[in-house]
Amino acid sequence: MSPLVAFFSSLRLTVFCLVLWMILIFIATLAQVDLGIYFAKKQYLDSWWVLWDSGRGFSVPTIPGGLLVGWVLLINLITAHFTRFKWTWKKLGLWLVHIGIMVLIVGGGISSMVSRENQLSLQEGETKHFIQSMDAWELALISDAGKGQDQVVSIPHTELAKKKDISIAALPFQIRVKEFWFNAQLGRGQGLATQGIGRQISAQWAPTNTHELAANTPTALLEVRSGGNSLGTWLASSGLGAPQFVWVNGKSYQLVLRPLRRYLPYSIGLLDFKHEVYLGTQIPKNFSSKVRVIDGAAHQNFTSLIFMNNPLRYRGLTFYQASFGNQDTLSVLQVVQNGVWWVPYVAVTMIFIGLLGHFGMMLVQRMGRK
Amino acid sequence: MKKFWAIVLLVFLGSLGPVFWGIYHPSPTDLVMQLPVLEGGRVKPLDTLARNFLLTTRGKQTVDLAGHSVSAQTWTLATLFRGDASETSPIFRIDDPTLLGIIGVEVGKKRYFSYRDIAPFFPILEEQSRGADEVEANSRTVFQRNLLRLRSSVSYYGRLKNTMGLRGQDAPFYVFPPLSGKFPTWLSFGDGVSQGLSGAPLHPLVPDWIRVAQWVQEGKLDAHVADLERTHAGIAQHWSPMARPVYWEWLFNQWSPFYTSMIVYLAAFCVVLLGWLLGRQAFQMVGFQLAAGAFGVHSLGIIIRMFLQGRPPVTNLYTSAVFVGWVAILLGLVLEQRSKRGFGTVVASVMGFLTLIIAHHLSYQGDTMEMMQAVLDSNFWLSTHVVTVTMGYGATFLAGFLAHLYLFRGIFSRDFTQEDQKTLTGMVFGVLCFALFFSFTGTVLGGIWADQSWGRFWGWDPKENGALMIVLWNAAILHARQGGIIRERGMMLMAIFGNIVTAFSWFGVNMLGVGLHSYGFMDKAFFWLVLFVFLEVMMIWLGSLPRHYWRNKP
Repeated sequence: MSPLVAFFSSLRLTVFCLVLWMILIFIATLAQVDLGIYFAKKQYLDSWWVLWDSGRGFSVPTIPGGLLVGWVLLINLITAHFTRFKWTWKKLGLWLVHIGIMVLIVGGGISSMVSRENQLSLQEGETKHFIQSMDAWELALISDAGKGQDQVVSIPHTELAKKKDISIAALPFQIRVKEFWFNAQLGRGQGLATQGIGRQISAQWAPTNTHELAANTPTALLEVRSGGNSLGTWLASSGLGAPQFVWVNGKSYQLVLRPLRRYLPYSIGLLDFKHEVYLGTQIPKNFSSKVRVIDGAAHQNFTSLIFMNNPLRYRGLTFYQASFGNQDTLSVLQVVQNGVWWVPYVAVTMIFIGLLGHFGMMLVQRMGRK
Repeated sequence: MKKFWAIVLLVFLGSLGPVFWGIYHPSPTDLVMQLPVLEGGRVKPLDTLARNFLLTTRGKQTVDLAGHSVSAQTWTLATLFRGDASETSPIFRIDDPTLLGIIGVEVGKKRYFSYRDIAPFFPILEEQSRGADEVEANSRTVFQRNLLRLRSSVSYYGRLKNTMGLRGQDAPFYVFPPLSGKFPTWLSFGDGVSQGLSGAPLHPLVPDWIRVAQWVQEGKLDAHVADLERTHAGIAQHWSPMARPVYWEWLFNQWSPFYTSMIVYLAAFCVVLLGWLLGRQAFQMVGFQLAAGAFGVHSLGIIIRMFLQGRPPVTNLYTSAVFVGWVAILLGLVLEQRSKRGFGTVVASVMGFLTLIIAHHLSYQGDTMEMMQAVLDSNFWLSTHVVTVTMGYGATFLAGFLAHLYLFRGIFSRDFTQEDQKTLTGMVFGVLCFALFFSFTGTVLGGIWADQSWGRFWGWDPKENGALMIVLWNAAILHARQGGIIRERGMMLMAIFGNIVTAFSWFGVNMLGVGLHSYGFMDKAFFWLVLFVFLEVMMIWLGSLPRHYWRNKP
């Protein structure tokens, strides 16, 4: 056996990876207090190396991150199957366990890539046909496409963050991003913009809220240029409610920075939201949202009650009760899309049966020996 | 061996003594305490409320009044019906130095304060509380948390002593249960009485309660046992489905099974230890029987609680402590049955004692049968995920404590035979397999619960991470042993570190104050957690000393 194969299939490596993974998870758990789950996960678990910010503009890799440890463990498992493991009936349980773990690791990786979490917040009586992101925003330019239809051009906030010129074929103008802040403090006062509501709104950089990304207010200062001329600057911010328009060649474009939308091929309306407490206490007994789903294409029109531990699953999306507001008239549903949701079920069933078989056999043997 | 089963029976029956006494000789106060009230969203006997209130404000179920110890029940009756009588009772325990400073008392001089002691400082306390209210719960300082706790105790006491006049949400609890037709919902004392005065239909229990109030005020409760029994008969007639569990809960309170078994576990531990010192086999058996008897009481206690609450055994931190102990003791006693060397009994009884002491202290936080938050309100997942994960905790701790025994015997005694070592190693290995199986299954079931109710299998929530750490650590131990990377001693040291991992997962993550699972910051618990981790690290260090320092030479 070549030394490389021996190294990758060794039990020492397995133990090393298990312990390292445990340490990573421990650090990531502690780090959540300051960073919030999203950033702690990104720094320690969804990374190849854990980077330490030296504070002087460069980062130093310290210990291997969750991705690297996961891959090494996977390679370790696979090679061990070819080198050390023996195909015997007695080892069947162990085989099942380890193959199940491989499926779990691979499935976890895939699911972290393909799953999407969004939100749908509805006032009682309101109906929407889109869900929106909690950690991504878009600059939407909306114009009339005729026949009662809108044309929407969407530019993700990550493009704005590059602070470059943006030109898009569907638009008769370019956008020069002069400033972009992931979070900003807005106030009344002398604005930076020369056009729109931004003339009366002051904006300045604010630290990122890492615990709740959705609570940030991304803000951009945009210069609109057409044919080499500046048409002025606009302030676009998710914190601004009033509509703003850009007029080019006699056509108006509404300009709005908002949470990234994903349109649904159906609509969901909130009929009623309930927040019950136990008598004489503030302890929540139940939150529930009664929603109506209207899906013309699929000829579906039904109502559904979403409550704790009982989400609505429809066409690949899961809607569950996440939050509420506005004196119990606003319901916030978390919307999860995960095409590989079944993978962990398969994996853990294999592992469970494997462990049960293996330890069960051990127990029977021991009992018999005495 | 057989003759010793008498000890098991004796422990069991002995613990039931107060219950039989309560059934056949209830005092007049008991009869009032058995009456059902609704508080914290739950119907319970007044007795539970009385005990819990003093436990949360004072840390004890009694009050010292002029050198006499007065029971929570008697004190509560006086507070309810003779309002101002208890204003001078020292019922608020204050340890926080800043709080003591506000009241103008030196640290260490005085611990327990009465309502009147604190009353002059209400304005300043209120002002400080307003500041604390504005701070998010997780970011509050220790002082702010203690302040808000004191404020809520004082305010609850204020409501308690005015019970008779308070209406609706202001009342500390509801006393008049719903009755089909005229009384659709529970009514407070004030509501029931004022409805009667306004000419609306009178709730049938109003006269009964008013009479009780009069008797207490006149100090003549003792003369009215027959009347109180009539009230109970009336309740049993009108509200039969409610009356029985409330009575059972009252009996359960008298019994206090976990407290009793805690004491007996301690006795069992001492007996076996003594047996080892004296080299007498009989002591080991007596110890085993004592532990088995305590285990019987412990088990029945869990079962009755499950019936009372209509829930699986683990619903909160308190019950998890009771159940972690139970699992460890069960396994320990099974191991003892097979090996008969006293190891199983010693470890089981130590863990029984420790976990029940932890539970006892957790019970200071209030009603241990509190209603379940909406997120957790699922008996199916509580009985699968929560129970298996807790079994994983229990087994991991058991392996760790068995490892302690191995090291203690190796380091401090000369007569730790090869065979003993082999037996203990086998035990630790077997228990670790058990622990891996249950912690894995429990963690995975948690993932399935999360997927079923939130649409995602795993979210890196602190409690999830904690459970996964236990799985990874147990897996690491078994793999290291399998690969010959560690031997007997290495496995013991790793198993002890497993205690640290489990303690972090069980209590540590709750102190982080982030995530869906956190149920409250516990300042005092943090100290004990740190101490536990420190002691375990010391143990690991001690165990890693070269073998020639050990008294037991290889």
